[in-house]
Amino acid sequence: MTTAKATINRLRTGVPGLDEVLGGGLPEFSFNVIAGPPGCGKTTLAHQMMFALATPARPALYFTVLGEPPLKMLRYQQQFDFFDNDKVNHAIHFVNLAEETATGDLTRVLARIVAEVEAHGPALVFVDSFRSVILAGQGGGQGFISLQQFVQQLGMLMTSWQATTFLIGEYFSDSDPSPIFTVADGLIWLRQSVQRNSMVRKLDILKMRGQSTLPGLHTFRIGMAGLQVFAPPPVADVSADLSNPPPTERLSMGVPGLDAMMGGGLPRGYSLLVAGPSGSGKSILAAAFLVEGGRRGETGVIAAFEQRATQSRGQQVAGLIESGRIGVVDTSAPGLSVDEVAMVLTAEVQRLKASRVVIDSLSGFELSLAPTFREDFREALARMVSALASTGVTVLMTSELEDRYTELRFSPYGTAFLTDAIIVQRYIEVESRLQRMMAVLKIRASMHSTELRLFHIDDDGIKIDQMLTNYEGLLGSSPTRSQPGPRQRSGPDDG
Amino acid sequence: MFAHLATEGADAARIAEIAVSIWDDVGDALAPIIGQSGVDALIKRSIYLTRTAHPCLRTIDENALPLDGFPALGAVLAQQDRIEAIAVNAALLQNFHNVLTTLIGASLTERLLRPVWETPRAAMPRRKT
Repeated sequence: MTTAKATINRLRTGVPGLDEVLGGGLPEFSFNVIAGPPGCGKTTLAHQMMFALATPARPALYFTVLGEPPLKMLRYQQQFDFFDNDKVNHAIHFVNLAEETATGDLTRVLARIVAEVEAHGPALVFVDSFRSVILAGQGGGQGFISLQQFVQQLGMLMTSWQATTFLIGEYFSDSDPSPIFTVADGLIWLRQSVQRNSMVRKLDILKMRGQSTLPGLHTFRIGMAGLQVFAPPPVADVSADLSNPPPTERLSMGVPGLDAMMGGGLPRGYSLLVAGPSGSGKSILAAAFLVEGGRRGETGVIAAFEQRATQSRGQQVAGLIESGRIGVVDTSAPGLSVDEVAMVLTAEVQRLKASRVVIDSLSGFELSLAPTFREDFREALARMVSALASTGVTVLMTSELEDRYTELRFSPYGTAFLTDAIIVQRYIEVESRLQRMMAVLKIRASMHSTELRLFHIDDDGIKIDQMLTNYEGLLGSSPTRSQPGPRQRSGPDDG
Repeated sequence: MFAHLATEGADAARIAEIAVSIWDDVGDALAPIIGQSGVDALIKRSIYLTRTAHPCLRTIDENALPLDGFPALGAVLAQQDRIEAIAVNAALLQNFHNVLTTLIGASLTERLLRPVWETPRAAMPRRKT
């Protein structure tokens, strides 16, 4: 015997990123609670979904209870881009329940809701704020239906009317033993986390019957377009990666001689870490990488976290940015999260069909994050690098490296393992001069040079010089002349 | 918005009657959305703004709100001469409109009050132009 399962349509909420977090959209006819402390964006989220979903054929009813005065709500909500005046009284009907609520008699509140629902036949129903209904119910005394009965009847009524319902309420604790949470099919929790000087908004789907959601807290921002949720980038499929042969196409780095050191250039789709101390030329190398792409007709995206970023990159990069060949990701917003940067980066890569991405630098990136995200920086970065890799772009990341001459370190984050290739830059002292030195440490599945090469920077960029022969202990910063005969170790004391 | 009544020869009592029906419709259009207390607050503010120019409005007891149907205004208007009755209500409506516009913008104000202007006032004398 075959049984036809009920089909659950998923509504597109119109909130960027929210459908992904919800697991494909909002189930039709579900009974949902949007909860969170004051000012966290509950009413805005409700309005944004309502204006996206309501049509004259499938209208929305928005019940306002005591809470926020409707005049003010209309005044402020219409500032958002999604607020469409033409939908008011047409596809969207606002209904004030203050009088019924003031009586404290939930039966009257329910009766009014029923009357309005029957009059308008809505596909979407919002009750804002539900906490006011609860308080009114508590103050009402005996003889009336209890809150639990009220919620159950409301839930039943709305589902049988085939309306997708949202109760908006202020709840400060998710352990609040409210009967609403039992009845609700979906619980969308909005939070504001304040740490040090930063405030970060986060959203959490605590419950969504009938589908699997993305667990955990997801950052969101409220701008003029409304809410934007930053869903974590999808994790790349490792098995697919294993079955693919290493890429054969190589990208030129734009620095004469460096491609040869890298066995012909950086394989397309790889991520490269350029690590070095301050002023060693990491940003210049990154700029050369982008300019070379521009020269070959490729487009690029840059996420710059350093101050005065445009100045240090020179005229050529500025020109490419101006002509739209290089997209710049705005990293000035306070309280960034890695997921947000990942989402903005990926969107920019797709918009420009970019093949080269520069993140300059990881150190600045970490500093620009809200303190609450710094603990998870490595994990989130790993996710971002893997998500970027899955789009096929080639990524160059720079990393500030504190010069410690007694050890060979590549990055302070343990990020070295994340990347397919590593170039390290160092300062060394030779004959009372500070010289720059560069080496290719790793290129996955590829031959590369093992030479330690001197380089200098002039007006045209990085110039790679000869290998410093007859010296030893270069990585220890103060090399010594070796005994005659190249590559002959003189003893364990050296360096 | 109904200054033409003056030229139609409507008397003050008739003007008061029409004014009350207009305010009735304003209440019907707005109260479901912003609540009766919201409408009352706006009317109170409009009376305050209008009564400097039209002192006759001082006799309205603002604390008698809700002004269900605004009969108090009808009583005041009926006692004025017809030109003043028209001027008072026009100024009051204008101020009400202005206050609402500053709060929720011109576009939404037009949208919410459209049913008021679209309601045919059956007994209203028509302009003869």
